[in-house]
Amino acid sequence: MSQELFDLLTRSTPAEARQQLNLSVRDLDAQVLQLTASLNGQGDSPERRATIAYTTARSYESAAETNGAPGPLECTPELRELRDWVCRYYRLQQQQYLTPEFLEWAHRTFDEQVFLAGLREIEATGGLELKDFIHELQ
Amino acid sequence: MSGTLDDPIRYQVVYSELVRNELKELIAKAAERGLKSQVRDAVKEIDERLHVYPQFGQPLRDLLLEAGEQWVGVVPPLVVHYAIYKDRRLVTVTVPITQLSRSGL
Repeated sequence: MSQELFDLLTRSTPAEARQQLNLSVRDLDAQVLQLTASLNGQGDSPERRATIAYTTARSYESAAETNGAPGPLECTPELRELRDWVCRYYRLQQQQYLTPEFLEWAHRTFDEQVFLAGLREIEATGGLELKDFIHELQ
Repeated sequence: MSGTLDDPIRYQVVYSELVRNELKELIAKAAERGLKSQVRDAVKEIDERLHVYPQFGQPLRDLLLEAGEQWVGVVPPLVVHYAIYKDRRLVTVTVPITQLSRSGL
């Protein structure tokens, strides 16, 4: 059952998965959350990537609802837990890099003047989003 | 400092001109070393994480001028310093994104 759900998550949006499984928003969030228990302690895998992709897609769904788009979608407690799980995984991935030496370097080399100048620019201009200049990075 | 997630409303993520210009230089340097797609993919991954999971990194300090927190995050081969303003649902990147040491860049 777990592998079937992982496979479905890999090829479907959350809405498609809910429709195929005839599950409510909260019920599917809960099932996906249960799956994370089988992934804890493991590294990167297709199943983990599918779970992260589901959680990210669900976060966009919730944002759409909050921004006024119509729809019965909701931010469930299970989705919050899934997002916590994703963040814990990302932080764990970074531990090999975020050594005390690295963090000391980050503190030491942080240029406050550059930081503040950039903030003033953003306050004045609104700043740039990646979509504004991603084409320059192609 | 808060290290936990809040309601999943996307954050707005904005960059300064300096960050944009330095990224262009970084991409050019990566291209010389055959790492352009790797760096570009890391930039896109950073952007998505900052939008949806801004607390993916490590908190460094509280900011004094405005209620916010300074964070640092790693998406290999890149390092990003950023600030989170939770009440405004805003992330700012005003310090150039740099490469990890020994990243080959």
